[in-house]
Order: sequence, then structure tokens, then C-alpha cells
Amino acid sequence: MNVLQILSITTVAFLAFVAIWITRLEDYIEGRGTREYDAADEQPESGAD
Amino acid sequence: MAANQTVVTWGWGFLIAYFVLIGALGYVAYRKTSTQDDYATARGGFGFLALAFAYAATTASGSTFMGIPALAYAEGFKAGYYAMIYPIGIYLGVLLVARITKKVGDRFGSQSVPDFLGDRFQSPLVRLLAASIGLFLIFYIMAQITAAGFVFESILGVDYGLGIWIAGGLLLLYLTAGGSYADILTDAVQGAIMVAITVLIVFMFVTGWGVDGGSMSAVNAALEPSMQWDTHLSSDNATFSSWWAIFLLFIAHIGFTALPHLGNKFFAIKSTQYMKKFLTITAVIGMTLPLMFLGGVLAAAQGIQVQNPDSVIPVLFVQNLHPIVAAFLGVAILSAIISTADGIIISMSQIFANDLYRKTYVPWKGGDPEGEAVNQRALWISRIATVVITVVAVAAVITPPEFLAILLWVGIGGIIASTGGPYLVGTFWENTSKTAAITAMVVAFSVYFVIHLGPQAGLYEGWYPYNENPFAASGIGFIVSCVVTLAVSRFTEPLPDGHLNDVFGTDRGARADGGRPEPIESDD
Repeated sequence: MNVLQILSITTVAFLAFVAIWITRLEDYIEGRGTREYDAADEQPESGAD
Repeated sequence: MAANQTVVTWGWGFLIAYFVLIGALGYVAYRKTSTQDDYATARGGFGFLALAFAYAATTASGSTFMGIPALAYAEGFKAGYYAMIYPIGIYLGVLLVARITKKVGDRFGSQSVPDFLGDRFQSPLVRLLAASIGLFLIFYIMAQITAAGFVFESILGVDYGLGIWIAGGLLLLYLTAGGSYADILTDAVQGAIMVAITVLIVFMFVTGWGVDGGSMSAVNAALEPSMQWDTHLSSDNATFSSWWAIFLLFIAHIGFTALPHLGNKFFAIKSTQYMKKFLTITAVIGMTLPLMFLGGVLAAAQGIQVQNPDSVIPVLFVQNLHPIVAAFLGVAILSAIISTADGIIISMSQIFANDLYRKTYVPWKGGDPEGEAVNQRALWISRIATVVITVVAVAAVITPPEFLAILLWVGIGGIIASTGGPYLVGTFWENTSKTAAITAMVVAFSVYFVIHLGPQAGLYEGWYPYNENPFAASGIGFIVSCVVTLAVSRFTEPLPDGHLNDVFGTDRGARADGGRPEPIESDD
């Protein structure tokens, strides 16, 4: 493969990753932090603060 | 090079029109800027589209529009590995950190990336270290001003020495009054112009403009064998010496997101609910602009001769297009350079006004960093610092500095190596500790100094390609920064749960009044 073909594949692959990130991963990662700390909020004071 | 008289005449006309446009946008921005936070961040002031263009324009500096085409002019197609790999690294980093930077920045009222790190790790020392390294960004501004001087010389026939002062004056015209609003507003317009130029360059390349045969294959055939698209590496060039070096170029640019003039843009988006649209559009624009490297390849195929390779794109325009079009495009390239310089100047001004004065000196003296008098004083420091930084940067390149690239990478590589790890790891892993962040900053910068800056300063020979290749050295520094952050966090105390809740919990809105974050309805 030549340079342009390799760069075309990497560019398309990256843009596909961006699409997957936007539609799937970002909500999952954002939700993970929210779930964890909202759950902690609902528990009795730990005294760690 | 002797500038074509028609190009010069029309170039001045377009330049004056550009001054008027930028001045008008600067005035609009001035009307929106009444507080220190406005000047520093333009918090919540822009929609996703304007900010996406502005972010891409800020990322694609004079290097993308001059340096990379110059590299392609000298090295051929393999320069594309730099041109098209670096944005993948940068925008991958953006995907990772943008949302939390916006969320936490608004929640704590952070006004810069060093400030964000200080707030994230509850550490004035982290803020101070990041701000101190950020001072080296002055060399980045100097590089942009130098590039602007060369464009003035190539397109407008203006002496380089006068060109750099005109560029400095242009920056001060809108930045001093309008701060971040002016920076982002003008960058959005400049970004749109830059996309148009890139599309033109791609069209010229695909149609083999000015090359016998009129196709991409004809362009390739017109090049020397070592520059053709079947040649991937070059043992003579440290950037393309191996696939490992190219991989490190990618790694280094993931940490590029930690540069203050890029990270502070996230504060300006209206709400995190627009973040997905912003990320999508800015990634596409960001992957488009570096296609400018094809212009350097085309110039080499056409056999264009230039004294200074950095001028290859302006010369390509002058020799191939109608003088009026060439003049317009030359001024547009100037706007590309200016769009990066302005962002760095604003972020540097915040090192003085916010990081050192408002968040370090004021609390040290027992004052309230959120007080009205302090904020007004910080606003004035911002404006004065903007003027001083610009004048110093221009004065420093009256004679184009011989070692500017080295100095440039003291700042960029140093920031990537030192703050990249704490920034990225701290974004995803709640247990990242303050001690780990401080240790990583010191250790990774030291590693970067040993493998790159020391050899570049002539202290010793060093190890190839790290001694010559700033990307590879920054990539190693960034990896060390991440590993040290992770490793030290395992053995040190994490931050208090209450603070981590404030950082990672459900959105609680901005902290404009200086009080503790309060729950509000989610904006998602």
C-alpha cells in the first residue's frame, strides 16, 4: 500500500471511532461516574469529607 | 522572493478588509466582556458550530499551513504521516477530556488548564507547576509571529521586520479589548476560511494542477523516487526514521490537548449537551485542514523553487492562480497563523492574571479570589499581560531566531510530558492522587529534558531519534507521565470523597459566586 492509501484507511477508521465514541462510549463513561457518586450520595455520611 | 505587483496591490486591499472585519469582531467581543471570567474563558458564550471551527483553527497553526507543506515539499508523500497522524492524536485526546474539562471547569470556576488541574487535584502546587511550564508558550507565539512575517514578505512584499509588527498590531487590535470572546469569534471566521483554502489545495492536487498528465499519479511520477508515495520512511529524517517514531508522534499529540490555549476552549461551549455535536464537527474539520500537506507535494512535483521552504504555499498560489485569488489566499494563510497566536496569548495572559495572581497570590495573602475587586484587578492584569506578551514576542523575533524550533518544543513538549498524564489519567480515574500528579509532572519533564532538551542544548549527544525528534521525545515523556501518575496513585492517598463527588458526580452547574457547588437540574 502507498502512503495515501494508508492515510485514507487510518482517517476513515478514526472518524468511525469518533462516531462510536459519540454514540456509545461517552454516555457510558459519563454515566459510570454519575452512577457511582450518586449512589454514594444516597448512602449515610462516611465521614471521609 | 520578489512579490508580483498585482498580488501585492490586491493583498493590501484584502489585508485592510481583514483588519476591518477583525476589528469589528473585536468590538462585538468587547461589548460581551465585562468580567475576568469573560476575558479568560468566554464561559458558555458559544454554540457548537462556532466553537468547532475555532478549535480546529487554533489547533492548525502556522505549522499546518506553512511548516508541514514545507516538509512535504522536501520529503514528499511521507510527510503525510505527520500531517494526518497528528490530528488523530489531538482529537482522540479531545474526545477523552473535553466533557469533563467543561463540566468540572464550570463547576469550580476554573479559568485555564493549570487552574483546572489545580481544582481537580485540590492543589495550588499543581496549578503553580503547570502555570510555570506554560510560560514557555512564549516561544510558540514567537514561532507564529515569525511565520506571519514570512507571509507578509512573500505575499505583500513587506519587509519581514515590518511584517511582524503589523501582525502584533493586528493581534492587539482585538485581543486587548475582547479577550476570549474575540479570540474565539475571530478564530471561527478564520477556521471557515482555512477550510476553503484546504479544499482548494485538495482540488489542485487531485487534478494534478500544473503537472503533465493532470492526475494524482502524474504528481507522484513527477517526484524524485525518495519522495514518491511508495516510500514510507527515511533514515535521514528523525521524524520518519521508523514506524516507532511515527507511533510516538501519534502518542505525543494525545497529550497536546493539555496545552492551555486548547483546553480553555472547552469552557466556552454553551452547555455539555452540545458537546457531542462539537466533538463530531471539530474532529472532521481538524482532519481536513492538515491535507494542506498535499500543496507541498504538488509544489515539488511542479518543480517550484523557493528560497525558504516555509513560503511554498504562498509561492504555489502566486505561480498557479490569478493574482487576485493568490492575494486573497495569502491573507487567508495569515489568518491561520493569527488564529493560533491569539489563543496562546490569551491563555498566557491567564497564567499571570488567574493562575499566579488570582488563585495563588491572593489566597496566599489571605484574600478572597472570588471578590469583586480581585476580579476587576485580574481583568486589568489580563489586558496588560496581553499587550506585554505580544510586544515581547514580536521584539524577540526581530531577527528570526535560529533555534526557535528547539525553544518552541521546550514549551509544547514540556507541557505534554508534565501535565498530559495527570490531565488524562485524572479525567478517567477518580483515585488519581495529588501526590501522583505532582510526581508525574516533575519526573516526566525531567525525562523529556534528559532525552531531548539536554542534547538539543548541546550538553551531550543523547539517543537517536529522541535527541533530534521532539515528537518522539514528547511521546516518551507523555507515556512516562501517564505511567507515573497511575503507579504513584496506587500507593498514595486519594482525594477526599466529598471532593471527588463534586468532580465526578451529577452536574451541579457553575460556581460563579464562589460558593460550594450546588445541585441544579442536569443540562443533558
